[in-house]
Amino acid sequence: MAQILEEIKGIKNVPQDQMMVPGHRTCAGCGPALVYKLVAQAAGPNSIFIGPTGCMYVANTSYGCTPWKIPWIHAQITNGGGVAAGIEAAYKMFEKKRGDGIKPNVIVMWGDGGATDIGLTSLSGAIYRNHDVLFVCYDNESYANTGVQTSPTTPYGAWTTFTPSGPAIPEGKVLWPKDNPKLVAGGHPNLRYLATASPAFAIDLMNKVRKGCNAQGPAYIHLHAPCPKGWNFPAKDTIEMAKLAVDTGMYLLYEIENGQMKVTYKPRKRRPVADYMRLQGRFSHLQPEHFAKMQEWADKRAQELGLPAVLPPTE
Amino acid sequence: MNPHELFFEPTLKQITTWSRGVILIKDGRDVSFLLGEAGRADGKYVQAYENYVDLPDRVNVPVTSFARIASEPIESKFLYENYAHDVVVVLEESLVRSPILNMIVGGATLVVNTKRDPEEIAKFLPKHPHLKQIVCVDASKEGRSAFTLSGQEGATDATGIGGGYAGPLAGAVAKATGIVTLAGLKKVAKNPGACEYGFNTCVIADAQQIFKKGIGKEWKGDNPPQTVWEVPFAGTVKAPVDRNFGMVTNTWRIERPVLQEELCTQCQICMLNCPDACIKLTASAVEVDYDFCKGCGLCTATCPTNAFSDVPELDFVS
Amino acid sequence: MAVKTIGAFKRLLTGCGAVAHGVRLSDVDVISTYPIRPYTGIMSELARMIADGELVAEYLHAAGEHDQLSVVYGACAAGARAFTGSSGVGVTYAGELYSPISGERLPLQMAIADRTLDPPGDFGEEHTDALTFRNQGWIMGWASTPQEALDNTIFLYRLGEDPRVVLPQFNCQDGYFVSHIADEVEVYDEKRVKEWLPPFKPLHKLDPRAPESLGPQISPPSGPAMQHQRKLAFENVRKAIPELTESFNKAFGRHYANWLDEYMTDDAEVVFVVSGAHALTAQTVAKKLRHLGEKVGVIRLRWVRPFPTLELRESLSRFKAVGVIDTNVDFGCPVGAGVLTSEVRAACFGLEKTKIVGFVAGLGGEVVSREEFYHMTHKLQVVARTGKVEKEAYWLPFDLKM
Repeated sequence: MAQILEEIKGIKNVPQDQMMVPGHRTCAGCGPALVYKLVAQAAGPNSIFIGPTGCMYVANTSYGCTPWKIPWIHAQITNGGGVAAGIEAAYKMFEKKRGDGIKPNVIVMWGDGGATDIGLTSLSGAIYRNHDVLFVCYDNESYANTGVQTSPTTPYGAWTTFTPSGPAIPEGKVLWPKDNPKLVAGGHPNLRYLATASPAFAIDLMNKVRKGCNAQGPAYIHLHAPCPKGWNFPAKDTIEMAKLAVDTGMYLLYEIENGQMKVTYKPRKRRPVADYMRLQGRFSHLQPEHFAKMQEWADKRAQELGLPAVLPPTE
Repeated sequence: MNPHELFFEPTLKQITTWSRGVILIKDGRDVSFLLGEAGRADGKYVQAYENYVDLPDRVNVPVTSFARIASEPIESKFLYENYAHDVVVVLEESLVRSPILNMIVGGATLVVNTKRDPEEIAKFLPKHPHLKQIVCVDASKEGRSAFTLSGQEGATDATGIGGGYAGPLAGAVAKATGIVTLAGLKKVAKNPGACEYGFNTCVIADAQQIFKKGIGKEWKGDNPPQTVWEVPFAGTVKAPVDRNFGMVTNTWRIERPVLQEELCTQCQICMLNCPDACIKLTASAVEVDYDFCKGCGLCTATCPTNAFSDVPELDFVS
Repeated sequence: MAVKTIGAFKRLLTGCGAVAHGVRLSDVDVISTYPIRPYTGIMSELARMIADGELVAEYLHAAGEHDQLSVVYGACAAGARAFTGSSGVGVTYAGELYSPISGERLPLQMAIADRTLDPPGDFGEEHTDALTFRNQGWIMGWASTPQEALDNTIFLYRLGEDPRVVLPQFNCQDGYFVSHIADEVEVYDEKRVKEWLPPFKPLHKLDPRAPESLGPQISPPSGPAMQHQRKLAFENVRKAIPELTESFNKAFGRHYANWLDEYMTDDAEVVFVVSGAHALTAQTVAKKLRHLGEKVGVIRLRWVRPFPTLELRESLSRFKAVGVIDTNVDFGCPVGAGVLTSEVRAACFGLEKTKIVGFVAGLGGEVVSREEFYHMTHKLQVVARTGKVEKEAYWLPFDLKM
């Protein structure tokens, strides 16, 4: 990306210009809308956003209107990567053929359904081809726009309309989630920057976005985006949920830059996963053995990153 | 004979229920299905459905669902909404700020889930000449909201209908209009006692008498649905200047955040955490854009000095 | 970056090679590629041109055909002239994208070198791949020679980008018969093409200097108005095709018909309606049969979308028997022939005198021989002379016992 976006040092230096203005049909307390606002704020006006089908397409543009002050285009849920690649290639050509001079940030805002599942080919192809694009996945852990169905990032044991719990299937969701950042980082040698971020640390999120924009080549950011509708918790608790996710190790914050992995948030004491899960209706059907499995999964991932061992349960 | 006269369905009663997305949509849908099933139990022709265009529902967004009950086979079977309303049911009182009385027919009844009385509710209503009755019932006394994602998006509900707020409201509809019977309701509801409670405790008032006292807002006429003749080229729209007036969201509020300015340190945490970018700095504090604030409560929850409090929206509307 | 100019020349080129030159001459900005026989040659040729500096364009190796169409969707939305292509199941795999590209009014071009759809694998051609998407709102036509394939490439960009039109285009050619058999092609000088085909001027695009949102969600009441825009655009295509065909012919010394390429139809007793290369075979049979005193004509359809309803109806009203060649499948369709027979019959509904018979020929890429045309002619002659249609649909070779 041509311009270099500077690091935001502290909340008073957050840019005041909103690129995503009031007026969109997203849930009250919507985690994805919150992170979208932050991403757009961080990226600034010299940006083009690509919106694959999902909550952040349908809710934001219902009906026949837009909250975006930056140029934006709808893409299919399947193809955010390809569409972004085409836009990036076009601007490359304008520079080559006509010396147009402008080089906008090209940013895909993809839900987890798109980025980790039906659009994975599109994502991987675009990274492989070395496009100067920032791929952002807002992960609310389900296909939420269609009414909350399981996606590959839906946690084990979560109730969705495709993984309801019942006597025959007590957990609800039986499958363990994909780890998309790991998948993306593991096999794309020309990926310039990768990070995970959370609205619990909004400035950190915005600075990671800026690093992604500044990277001259493909960058991938995976954002945790708590979802009051899909996870079944009150709208006012979105930030609380995000904080608990990182404090229990259910969500991990790190970045990979120049091949070096750095953990960007280490809770001083790691809380048991139950502290997070029992506040969300999507886990309310689980039994102690399911919680134990989840704790084991969280412990293993936390250990890989050098996070502290878990506290004994608070109840 | 003009088409409107030709196609008039004299026995069709159209009951429109307003609710809030996600948190109360199940109860809203239950009202419609409870009335529909009760109608069926009474031997009537019925339809019950959600407003497809409201889907997917979002937390707090006003949503509607419909019950249609007739003594003859229903002819207007495939519409997105009721085209005229004999009864309007409101699941949550601050929905009176939405255009709930638009297109009501003469003799219409409004039923509201509220602790307030009809005159207090009337303050927020346009003085619509067709409104005959305002009915208030406190549904929360007989149970809690029946939240579930089961049964949404056209699927069949596995949890039973009328277990939450819907029962008392349906009971009040039965009492005030007789469109369905209490017996019919009790046959089909998950909590028949709740229907009876609503039937017995609802307060019914004459709307026009209340309006005559000067209570109520100016009525500016109905807004019938319009045919869309043109859209912009390929649907493309220009970026907004500073707010998107295509989706004004202040009617989503159940409570609004109210700031105690002396406690505000301009730390800007609320601004960062507002998903709708509704908070801006002022000279000495911050201010909320109440044209768009959805009342999600994140500013209140994350303010480090507890400068915000959430106050019921109806306590503010003049 | 200075591009290496080649200038005008004439040589043997296949349909693939010809389209590649058409793309080069159209100064395309972004190309997305993915290999599938038999269209691949177009893309290999373009890669060579780029490597040799004859064309400056971004050339993206897409992750499949769906990705190909996604790339050009984005590129065109950003304001670039974009090109892609495919064959057979590649065309169908990209299926999700055709409606968005058309509805978003992105006038990009896709070359299709036809190939039979699986199962099983068969490199031979049927037009089914392209025809399956005839209702997606793209301009669609067939070249019958490599020259026409090159010419259509340039022509379709001008037509599609016309501000009255703004629609994407399927530039189709018979797989193998046109894509792989070389024929003499005149490749024009770059300047001559630049004069006729100006740079792409988008009506909407993604540009931070004038931000807009492309493709907001609508609700059902806006549906009719949304779709109606393209109905009107297609009416404009009808106006633009004769205008631009005349202009193209003049600029490049060609003689393309606006809609119907008619051969020996003036006093014909029976005619064939065909699109693509098999029309040329039909023409040789028509010429031969004239020596025997049998009057056969051939009408070659250049465009299938928009369908030349008025022109076809007027032309066919002169004939007692019409044979439509369908090199495609549409199982269970009305009358049981194929897509073109159904559409020609629809266009000619009400023409009492004109009897229409469908001939499903060349399936799987099998040759449609002159002998078969000879026998089909005799079937049509019986219809013309008796006024009776014994059979409305013939599947070759089964129904044409020779």
